[in-house]
Amino acid sequence: MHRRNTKKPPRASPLRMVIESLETRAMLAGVEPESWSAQGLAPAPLGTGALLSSGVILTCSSPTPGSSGTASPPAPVSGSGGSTAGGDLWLAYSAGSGAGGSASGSTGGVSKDGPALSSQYTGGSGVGKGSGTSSGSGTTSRGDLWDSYSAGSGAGGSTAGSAGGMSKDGPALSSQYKKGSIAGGQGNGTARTVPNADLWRLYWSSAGAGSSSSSSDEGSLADDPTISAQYTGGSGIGRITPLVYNPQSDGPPVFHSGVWTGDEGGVQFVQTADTGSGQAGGDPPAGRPAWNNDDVEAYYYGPRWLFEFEAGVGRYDPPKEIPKPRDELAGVVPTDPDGKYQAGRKQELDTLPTKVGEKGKEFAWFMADYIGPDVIGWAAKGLAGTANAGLYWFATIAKKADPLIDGARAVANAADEIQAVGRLAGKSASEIADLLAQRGYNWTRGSNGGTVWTKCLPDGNTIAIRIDPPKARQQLLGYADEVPHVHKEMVPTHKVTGGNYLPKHAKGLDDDGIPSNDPRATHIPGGQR
Amino acid sequence: MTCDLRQLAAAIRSATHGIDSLADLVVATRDPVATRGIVHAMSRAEGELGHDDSLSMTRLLNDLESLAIEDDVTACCMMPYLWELASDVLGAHDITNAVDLWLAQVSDPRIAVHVQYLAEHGGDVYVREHFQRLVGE
Repeated sequence: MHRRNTKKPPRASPLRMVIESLETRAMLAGVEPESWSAQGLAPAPLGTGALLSSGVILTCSSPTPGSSGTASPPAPVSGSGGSTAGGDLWLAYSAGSGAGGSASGSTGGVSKDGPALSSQYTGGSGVGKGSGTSSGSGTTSRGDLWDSYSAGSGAGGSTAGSAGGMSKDGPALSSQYKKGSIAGGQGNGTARTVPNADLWRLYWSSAGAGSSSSSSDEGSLADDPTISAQYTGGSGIGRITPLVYNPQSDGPPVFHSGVWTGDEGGVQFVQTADTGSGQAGGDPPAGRPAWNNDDVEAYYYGPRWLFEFEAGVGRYDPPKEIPKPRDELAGVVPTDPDGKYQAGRKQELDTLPTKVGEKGKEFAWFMADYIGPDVIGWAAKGLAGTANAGLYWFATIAKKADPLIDGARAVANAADEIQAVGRLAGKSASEIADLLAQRGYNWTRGSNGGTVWTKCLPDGNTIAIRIDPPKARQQLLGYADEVPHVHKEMVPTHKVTGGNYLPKHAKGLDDDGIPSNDPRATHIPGGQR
Repeated sequence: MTCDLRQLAAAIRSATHGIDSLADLVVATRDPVATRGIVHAMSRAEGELGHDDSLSMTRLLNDLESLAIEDDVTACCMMPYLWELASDVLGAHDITNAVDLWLAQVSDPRIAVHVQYLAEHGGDVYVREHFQRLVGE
C-alpha cells in the first residue's frame, strides 16, 4: 500500500535553489544554458556546496543542521587545477533530514567525497556522518540527488580517490521507516574510477536501503553499478542510478559525439561529429540504434520508472506473488510500445522469481540489470557536451523527474490535478502526451490500442487520461467514440493495477473535470494522431 | 422460459439473426434474468473458444451491435449485462463506454427494465452505482 505524505514539499529545497539559480544565471546572462561554457559563465558556488564547471555536475550541501560540507570554488572550465566539492543535494520533503559530508581534494583534478546522511522521520533527529579522502591527480565527481519524499531516510558514504583518474564510491544508505532508526553505512573507494552521480528517489513511502559501488576504466563511462537493496519490514527499495559525468582533462570541453541542449520543454540530443577523444560520447551500446530523443525520454524517466516499480513491488505487505511481473513492470515502464526497451528481456521477466518478500533484493538487482545498463548509457551520453550543458541538463532532468521540484506537478489532489491538466478537446495525441509527461503521468497501452495515462495523487486518487482511437463499426452511427477521443477519469489509486484499472472503478469526467454520467460528455474529441 | 438460451446465444454468436431467433430474443429480453443469462451464455461461449476476456467482450459487443442494426431496443436490452461483464475486465473501457453511448442514444421502456434491474441487482456495488446513476437521470 502506498503511503504518501500529503504535506507539501518545502519550497526552498536545495535542489530548487540550485535549479532556480541556474535558470536565473542563464536568464541574467541572456544566453541559453548550453552555451554557458562558451560564454565562460561557470556557475558560482551555492551555499556550502559548489557547482563545478569541470565535471561535478551538481552538488550542494544540505542546509539542514548537522551538515558539514566543505567545498572549494569551482574549477575553471578546462578542468585543470584542484578543486573539491562536498555535500549533496537533498530534498527532504516532509521529514527532518540531516546531512554531513566532508571532502578533500588534491591537485590535478576534482575530487569530492560523499556525505553521510541520516534522518529520522518520526524521531525528528538525524545523525550525519561522513568521511572520505581523495588524493591524486585524477578527478572524482559525484553529485547526489536525494529525494526523501515522504519518509525518513539515511545515508552514509565515503569516497577515496586515487591517482590517475577519478574515484568515487557510492554511499551506503540505510534507514528504517517504521522504527525510525538509522544505520549509515560506508563505502570504500579504491583506485577505481567512477564517474557518476546518483539520483535517488525514495518517493513513495518508506525509505529503502542500498549501497553501491561501481567502477569503470579511467576516463570512461561508469559501468555496472552494484546495487543492493533491502525489502525488509515493508520498506521500499532504494537504488542508485548513475547520472552524468563529463571528464574534461584539458582544453576545450567539447569532445564528444553529440551534445545535449536544453529547450523550453526539456532536452534534446543533437548528434554531431566526434571532435575529440570520445571518452564520454561515442557510439551507443551494441545493438542499439543511434541516439535519439527516445533515448532522452528513456533516460529522463528511467530512474523514475525504477523507483515507481520498486516502490510498487514494495507495497506488498505481507509479501505476495506477482503472477505477471511484466505486467507489473508495464505499469511503470510504459514507454515501450514496440518492446524496444524490453527486447530480449521478456522471457527473463516471465521466469523471474517473483516472490517479492523473499526475493526483494534479487528482484531489485534484476531490475537494475534490466534497465540499469541502458540508463547508464543514456546518462553518460547526457554528459556528452560541455559541463555546463550537462549541468543544465541535469537540472532539467531533476526538474522533470521529480514532481516535487516543479510546482506545477506538485498537486495534492485529483481535483486540482484535473484542473491543472486543462481542457483536452481538439488537442492532438502528441500534444496531450507531452502535456501529461510533463506533469508526471505514466502511460501504458490500452487493450483497444489506445494509451492510458495515469498519475496517482496523495489524496488516494489517480487521475487517468485515456487516449482512444476511433471505434470501427460496420455501420457508422455518429457516436462519439467513432472519432479519436479522450477520456478523463478518476480512479481510487488502490484499484489501479499495472497502469490500468477496471472500468467499473472509474468515474468519468467531462472536459472541465466535472463528474458526468453523460457518455457524450465524457468522450472528449481529441487525441488525433 | 422456454427458449433455449444457448441456441439463442449461438444464433447471436453467428450473427445470423433469423426472424425466429430474433422473435425468441425479443420475448426473452422481457425478463432481466433471462437476458442476463443469454449474455452470460454468450460470454461463456467466447471463453470456450479460447478468447481472452478482452477479446470476448469486443466480440460480444460486435455481436450486439450487429443485432442492433436489426433491433436496437432488443440489443440495448442485452447491453447492460455486457457492461456488467466488461466492467470486470481490465482495460475494457471501450466496451463499457460503447454500451453507455448506446444506452444514452436508444431509449425505451424495455431497456429501462434492465437498467433498473442492474441498479438493484448488479454484481457489486460499483455496477449497481453505475446503473443507479443512469436510472436517476
